[in-house]
Amino acid sequence: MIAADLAFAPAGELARLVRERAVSPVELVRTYLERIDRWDARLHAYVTVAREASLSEAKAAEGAVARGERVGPLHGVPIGVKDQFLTRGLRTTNGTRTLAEFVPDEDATAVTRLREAGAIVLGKLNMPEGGMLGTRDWPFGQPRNPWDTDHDAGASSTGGGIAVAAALCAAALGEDTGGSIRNPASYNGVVGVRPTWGRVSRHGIMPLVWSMDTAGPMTRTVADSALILGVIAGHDPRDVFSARLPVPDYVAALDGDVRGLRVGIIRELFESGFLDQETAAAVRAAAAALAGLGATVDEVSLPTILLGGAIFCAIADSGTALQHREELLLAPERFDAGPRRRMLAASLLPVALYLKVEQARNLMRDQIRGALERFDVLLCPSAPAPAARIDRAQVATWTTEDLIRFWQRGSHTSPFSLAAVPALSVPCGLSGAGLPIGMQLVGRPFGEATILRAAHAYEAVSDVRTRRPPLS
Amino acid sequence: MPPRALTPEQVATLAQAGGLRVSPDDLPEVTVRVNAFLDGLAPLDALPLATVQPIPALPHPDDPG
Repeated sequence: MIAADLAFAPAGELARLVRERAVSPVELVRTYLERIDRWDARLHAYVTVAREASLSEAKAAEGAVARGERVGPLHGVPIGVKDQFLTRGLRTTNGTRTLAEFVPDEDATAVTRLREAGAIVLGKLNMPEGGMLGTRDWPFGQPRNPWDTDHDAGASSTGGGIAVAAALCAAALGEDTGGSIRNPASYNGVVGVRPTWGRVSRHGIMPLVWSMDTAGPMTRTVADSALILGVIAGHDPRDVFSARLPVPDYVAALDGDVRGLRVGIIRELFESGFLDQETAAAVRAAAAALAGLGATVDEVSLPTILLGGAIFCAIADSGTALQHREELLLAPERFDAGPRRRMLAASLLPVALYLKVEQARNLMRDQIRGALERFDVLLCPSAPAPAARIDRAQVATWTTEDLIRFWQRGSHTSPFSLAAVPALSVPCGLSGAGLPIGMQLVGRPFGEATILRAAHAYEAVSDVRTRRPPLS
Repeated sequence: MPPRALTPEQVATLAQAGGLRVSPDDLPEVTVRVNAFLDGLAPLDALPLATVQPIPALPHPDDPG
């Protein structure tokens, strides 16, 4: 297998090749390190590359296979980790200059579980400051979309989307608060899963919003997401809100059978007035493909959904301001202007308005879960349009109307975070300009297996898996 | 009725009362953001929220939904 094909192979396939001694973990790590050396000065997917540590771990992994030891399902597979997760002995910046030298002495639970499954942490992946959209001066380089490097790569698991799309790792561990896995997954043409809040431990994730922060996989195939989710999911005593429910075999759920699956297309997100027509057509074609496989597809109304972005930002910006309260009071200049202004504004919200926002969140949750009693899966675009040009994505001067429109556009992902239900983005096409388009599937609480099954069935009849970014 | 927009001076006074320093460079955008929250969240007044509890909408850790 030539190096590029090896780099783009699914993580599960690489794990199989390692187990069968067809490929060495050392060869895999070197392959990705060479690609990082070649492409990342332009793409800026990584904040830190664990060059020596990953090679050392790869040699140990190679030895384990040679000795015939029992190995985990990700043995020898190089994975990138968002820089929001604590990693033992490997600096963790959370996208900030203030933590540029911080080296944790423990791993986040999700990272521990990846390592226990045999994965090799190749490095830490770029993200906006503190996970907050609106960062203007990226401390570790301006991330670029590998499908067109003049375009935005999404946020906040930005580096994960880039690195998986450009095959700078086999898969990535992302974090999603209001869409931070699904948005970059959509923009970069990869699969990204936000599990149910509580499905994966939050221990060791630098917090953004305690009631929405969720770890999840970013991969080139649905099967890889199923594999990795199965590894990282499950109860953790160090996160009191992590569910004690057993973890299903997500890979086994990918049986390709969606006959009788009830799929609800969210009407308001197709009638918003700002949905790009190519995006609408691609997502409707994907819905038709599911119908062709035997699913029942119908429309569903979620009347408050376009308020989701504003509700989310009120909660998220307030939560982030709380996380950084001391520094915001004492040294606000340490933050990039974008996140600082968001936190300052949220700090001035009347408490009564904040409580009303929480009420509205619950109303939205009830509407979404009510729809999920009538449908097995909800379906909509992951984003209202493909990635914008970087110079247009970064707004220099906001108006009130700009912000409200921006929040409405965020209503494609944030309502499902507010409702604490699982959702994923799966590629469903390319725009005329060659930029990826994502379809979002939303499931019932702890219903990850159902949305993975639907996404996998769709992926199997589409050509999305065969597409690669035109890096040259 | 939409809320009246706050002026930069009013926002600066609010921030000062809360112990927050808002620089002259930041004040215009912070003012826009506060007003956007007030305008963008105004439609919540029309929602049937009287009997909805203002607690985070979390699943119980053991609730399969």
